[in-house]
Amino acid sequence: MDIIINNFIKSFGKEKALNIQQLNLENIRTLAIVGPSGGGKSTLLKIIGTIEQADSGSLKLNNKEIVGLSEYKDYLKGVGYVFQHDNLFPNLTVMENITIHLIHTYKMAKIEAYTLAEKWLLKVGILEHKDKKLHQLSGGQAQRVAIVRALISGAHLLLLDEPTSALDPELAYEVMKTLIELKQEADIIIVTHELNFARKFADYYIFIEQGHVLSHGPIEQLFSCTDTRISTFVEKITFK
Amino acid sequence: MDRWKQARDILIVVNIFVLLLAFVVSQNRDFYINLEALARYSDLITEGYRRTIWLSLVALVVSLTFSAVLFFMTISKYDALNYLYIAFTQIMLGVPLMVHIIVLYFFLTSAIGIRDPIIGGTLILSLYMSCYFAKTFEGAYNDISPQQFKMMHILQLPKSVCIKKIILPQMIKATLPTLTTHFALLVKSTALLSLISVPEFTQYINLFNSRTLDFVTGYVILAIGYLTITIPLSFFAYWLNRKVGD
Repeated sequence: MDIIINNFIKSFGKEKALNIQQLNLENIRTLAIVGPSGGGKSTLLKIIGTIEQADSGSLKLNNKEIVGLSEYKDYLKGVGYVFQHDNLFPNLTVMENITIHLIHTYKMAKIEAYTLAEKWLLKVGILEHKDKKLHQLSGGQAQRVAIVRALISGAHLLLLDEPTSALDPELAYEVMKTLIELKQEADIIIVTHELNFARKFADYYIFIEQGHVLSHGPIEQLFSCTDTRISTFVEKITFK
Repeated sequence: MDRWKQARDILIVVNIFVLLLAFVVSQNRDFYINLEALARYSDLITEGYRRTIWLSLVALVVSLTFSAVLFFMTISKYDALNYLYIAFTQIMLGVPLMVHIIVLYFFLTSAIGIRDPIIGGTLILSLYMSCYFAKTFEGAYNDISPQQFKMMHILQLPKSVCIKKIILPQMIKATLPTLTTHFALLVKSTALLSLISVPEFTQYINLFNSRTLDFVTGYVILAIGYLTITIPLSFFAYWLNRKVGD
């Protein structure tokens, strides 16, 4: 994927949550957005996912302008999104959660949608839970279902907003493993505090603090960065 | 074993009430139930009871319809409708129903040409109860996490699918037990319609009282009559609560 950002501003009241002058990223497959909490990472992801609107500037994703986009339908058909929690509709079963958009947005026949869903559930090892509802699943299983739902429609871009931060380490590991297995299915942008995972998973990073991009580059550079602010952050997160 | 324990507890509670009743009766020499009068006016009493059930059911349907309108006002993107909802519910719930019945019947419903106390009374009761129902719907709607609404947007689900498949089922599950309790409140509130001479259970018992001058019998039957409706409703609400909680 290519991301080109120019004079990009997003404010909440008087506070500028994001203020990115220029950023050109080309040919990225998996991008990790890292940085301290409240720095604007999730806001950037939400703008790319059209959940939030930017105030001004330009953000082009694969040459598609996102700022000021009024017709989301075609754009969102290629985008999958996974939040930290509450991704699934609690009144629906796993199968219904995964196929609801296939049937009602993509107008796929129910039987076809169910067959496709079964293939995906088998792939991530949770087929036996297909008739369960949210309260019968573990946090890790629920996140894996959410990942399947995000990808099943053939999305070419998967947006992950701290998908493991609400999970205990064991369940987080399950989700990370699934993400690594499905990595080739789409381009991915992940907001995460799990730097060790990001190191294995992503091939590029951007470091955002107080709304500014302080640094970006191939993921390995994050761990050898000489900028004191970034190296201190990495040390703290990875307990070096 | 649990069932035996439950049966024993129910028996204890029933005994406490029987003893309490026996004490009250023994301390009041005037307390007696006039069975002869009851037999003579059984048609009158049954008719009143039947009318209250009908009135309650009609008021339930009308108030649920009003409450749906009120609810859509609360979630509307137009501020004017939000303010209208707040003002309406504040006024309706801020004044006792008895006052509404008198003031609204004699001034408002008359002003719009409603002269029939049954129609006017049902309308006022429905408007009042619709605020309770709407507040319940509002609470259930607000309990749906914002993340779910974001997900509906991302999945580009049509609005009708969001409402039918996701929002309404969650709201119904969350509100059914409370709505049942509100319905019991509505049934009891129909008694106040006797103030404007709506023919219902209380009004018919008043008639029984004036014909027999046996107020104690009349009011005891009135209490028993309402309890035969509200107690099953309470059990139904309890059962629903457990059912939807599973």
